Amino acid sequence: MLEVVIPDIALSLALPEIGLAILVCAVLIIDLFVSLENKSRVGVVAFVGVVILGLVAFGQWGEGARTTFSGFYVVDNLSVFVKVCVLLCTAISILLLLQYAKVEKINYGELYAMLLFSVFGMLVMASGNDLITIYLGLETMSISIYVLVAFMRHDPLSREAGLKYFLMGAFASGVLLYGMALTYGFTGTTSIRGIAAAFSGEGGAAIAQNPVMIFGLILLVAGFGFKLALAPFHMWLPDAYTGAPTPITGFMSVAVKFATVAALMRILFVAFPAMADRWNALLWALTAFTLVWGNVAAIAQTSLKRMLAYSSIGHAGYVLMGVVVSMTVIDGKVTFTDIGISAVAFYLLAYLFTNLGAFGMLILVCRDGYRGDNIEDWKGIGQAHPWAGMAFVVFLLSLGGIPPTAGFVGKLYLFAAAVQTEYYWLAAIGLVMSAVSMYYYGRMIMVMYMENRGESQEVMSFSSAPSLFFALVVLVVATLLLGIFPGSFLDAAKGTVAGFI
Amino acid sequence: MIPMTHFLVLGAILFLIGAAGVLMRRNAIIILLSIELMLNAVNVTFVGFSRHLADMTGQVFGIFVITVAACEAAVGLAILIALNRDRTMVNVDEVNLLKW
Repeated sequence: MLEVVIPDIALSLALPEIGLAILVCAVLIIDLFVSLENKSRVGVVAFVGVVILGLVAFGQWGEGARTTFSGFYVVDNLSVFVKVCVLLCTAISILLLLQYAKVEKINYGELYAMLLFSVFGMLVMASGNDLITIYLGLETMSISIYVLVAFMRHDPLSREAGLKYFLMGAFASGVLLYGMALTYGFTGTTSIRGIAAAFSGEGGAAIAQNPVMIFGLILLVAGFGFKLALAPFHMWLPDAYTGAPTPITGFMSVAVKFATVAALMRILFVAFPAMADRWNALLWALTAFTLVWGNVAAIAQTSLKRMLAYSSIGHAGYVLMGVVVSMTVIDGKVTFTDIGISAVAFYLLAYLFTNLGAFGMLILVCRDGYRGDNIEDWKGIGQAHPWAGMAFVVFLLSLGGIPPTAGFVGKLYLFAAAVQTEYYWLAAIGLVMSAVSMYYYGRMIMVMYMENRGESQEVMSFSSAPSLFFALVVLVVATLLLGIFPGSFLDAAKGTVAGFI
Repeated sequence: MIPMTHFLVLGAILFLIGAAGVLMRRNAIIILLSIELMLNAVNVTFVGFSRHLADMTGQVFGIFVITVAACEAAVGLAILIALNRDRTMVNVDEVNLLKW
């Protein structure tokens, strides 16, 4: 007789995702009843929903690793941390969007719905405990973001950015999938834990040495490299970031990194420790190249948005540096250090507030037909608008890693981790590139404070929309708070390690 | 019975043709089709492995890939049409407002 096995499903573990799915449907339905002038109300509904879901996700913190849906799905501190941060980033992005969408005439309910769909993909990625779950989360995230990038249909730049991002992103997921297929073929399973078991089981050592399996691992890393825009897979990023609506640029630069890095760490640390020497060497090279390329190319930019885009490549390099230094070999045995993983978590958290803030400044000056995209546009703003100037300086210093800001503590912790696990060269490259980055962030500060505004230059006015004001105050305070009192945030970052490996 | 290597070699060849198409062709629609070819090459590989291992997971993954590929094509074509509204072109070399 056929035996029916009812799988163990604990829906409460997936509460943030289920809630988000309901929220997206609600947003789409509410959108039907709201007139075109009042679409911001849809955004407010999305904002409130995301904040509540963030609190729900926060409630799952610190209860150890629990799996559900037959092991396809895991809730541990790392996934909860990523979910809370992604939802926080989304909430701030919606605040930044409310005003921007009106100015750029893209204030449609679908804008918020697509944003929430991509967040759904990110949450699934963060909790994915199987290659299938991770792949589906990644695609839900990516496809929604292709739409968001091309959302300003009336703007040729946005459409072009959408096409470029789409073509490169789809190509990357093909590469990633082929890596997953080869992994499945050699290990006979798509489960993250199952893959690890196959490597440590009988004949596992032979699989780890098989050249085709190594090729599959390279494809996997390359696929994630595309999504994270690591050099040399970064060529889509400057265009996509420049053309996309600015709040979306900020959103994708932060939230996509969170979700992708979480999935990458889960695959590499949990499933592939047997091949750690190989992926570590590969990531080492990618990190060094990304750090150098992102920071050096940013120097040459004349557009502020594009400069921030290149700088986000550099920051992806720093995040990846944390992933690399998490692995160390003690007595011939591969070990993952807590300090490396928590450095990644803290750096990402610092980057969330800082980078959203920097893009938020760009949104603040946006008005009909004027975007203030160029560095030259900011001449003399420091004297004319002291508060806005100060806020921008805080974000720029934090991006460059100068105390007393979040970026400083993030970099300090990261370099400490690198030195502790004896990755001296990587730490050195990171330090030098940090100095290089201060050149172009410093130039921006100099333009704002040292140069006088030209006679013929268009007046730059700062929006006084309460949602924008509130978002930027939160971001400035958070950036300084993380820099001056990092203690409890560092504890949270350290807590991500629990139950992960 | 067809040996597994046949499936794998077929998958690898299709994948390479698709990747070469993405990198070498300049027509956006052909690039899109080449990406579809890559995804289907992965499906062949998945199903081949699935048969060899006598395990259903590979086929399930294949069905998910087909679904995602359909969504991707829908979004991709929509973006292409939006680009086409004011400039009649499908050649990616002409998509050059943003410098590379």
